[in-house]
Amino acid sequence: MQALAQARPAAAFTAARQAARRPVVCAVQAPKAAQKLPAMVKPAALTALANVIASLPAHAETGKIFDFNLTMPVMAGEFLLLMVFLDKFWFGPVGATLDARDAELRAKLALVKDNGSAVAQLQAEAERLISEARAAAQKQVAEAKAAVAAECAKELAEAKAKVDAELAKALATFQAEKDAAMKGLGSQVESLSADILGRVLPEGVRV
Amino acid sequence: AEVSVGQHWYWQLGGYSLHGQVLITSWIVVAVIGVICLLGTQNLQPVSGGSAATAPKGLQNLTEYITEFIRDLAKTQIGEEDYLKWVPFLGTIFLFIFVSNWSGALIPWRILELPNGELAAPTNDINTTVALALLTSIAYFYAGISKKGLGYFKRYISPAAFLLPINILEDLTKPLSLSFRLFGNILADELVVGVLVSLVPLVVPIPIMLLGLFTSAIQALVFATLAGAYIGESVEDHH
Repeated sequence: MQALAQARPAAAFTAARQAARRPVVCAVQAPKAAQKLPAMVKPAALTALANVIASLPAHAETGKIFDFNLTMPVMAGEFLLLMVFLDKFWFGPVGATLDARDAELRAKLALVKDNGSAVAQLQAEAERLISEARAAAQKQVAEAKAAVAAECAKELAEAKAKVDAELAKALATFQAEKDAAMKGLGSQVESLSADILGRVLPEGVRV
Repeated sequence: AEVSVGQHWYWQLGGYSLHGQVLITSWIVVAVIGVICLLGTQNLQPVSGGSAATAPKGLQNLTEYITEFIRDLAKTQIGEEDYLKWVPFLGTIFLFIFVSNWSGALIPWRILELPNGELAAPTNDINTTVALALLTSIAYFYAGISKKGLGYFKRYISPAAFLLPINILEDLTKPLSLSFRLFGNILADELVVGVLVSLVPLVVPIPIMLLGLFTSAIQALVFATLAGAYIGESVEDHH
């Protein structure tokens, strides 16, 4: 088909050249040109047809989208090989690394949580110490207070005793003066009563 | 620029043909993932210096982030008990699809000319997506049977026996939907971008390209999440 198509343009070309020469020759023989025109149509048509055929695309296979062949198992095999390779060199090692890091972080977290209990223990200890110190301090304060109170009481007692003594003395003095005054009164009362009797009773009567 | 759909660079192996362009781009995707893996797992250190666990730096941070992300995805979908052994599978699904999609969107593949077809994301080929979907099916069957033995097949008649045909149908639609969802998204995005670029090569395709980056990342996540969900469904205890 293609050889024929190539032969045709050549043949048509020579035919066309000859046909092209003919009008020149025919131009000289002007009267005969009108008769030669129909004879030129056939080679010209042949030329046109040859050119059209030559411009058609070269023979192509029909396009096949759904073309199943050995490619399918080959791709499946490639995929399985890739899977084994990636399991060995990517997902295995990287997965192990991820797990190792995870385990390590968890261990550290657990450690910190244990430390938390130790911290609580230390805290309890600290509180105990603080409470002990506080108790000791309070005891000291109480003792100091008691001492001061005792001293104050002593001084108060002393002062009170002094005041009591003075009061007693004053009372005694008063009592003594009262006694003295009563005695004086007594003698005065006797003299007065004798005087009154002397005045009241007639003379010469004695009681 | 032209947009061509469904053109492949055929290689022959044995009596069978292969799509060469898909294999080439998938090798490059695997190489990218491998390089990130090897660079990001050098000198893994949970602790550094003294006894203090430190935050990871650089590529190790990236690989750890991705591992944690996949672990979290697996744990959410599969549950606390069995998730760890499925992390490599789900992780590979996610990484392969994600790097494939983004490599298709970001790397200028058209610079390299092929005899037929062109280089693009390996996930724009139905073979790749169906392969991944079938592997997911096999995975959830394996998960269920290895955990429950033949009692796994009781789930076909739970919660009621008349649901048996629907449950069997589900086992066919699961891989079908997984594969076609991914395939359709990626191929359609490539076609739209290709058409836009062939019409207006300058600023106009950029929003679609950005949308393509976003949706292709989401598709990787969706595939991995659904795979996890199917595995989780298979291993879960009776409701």
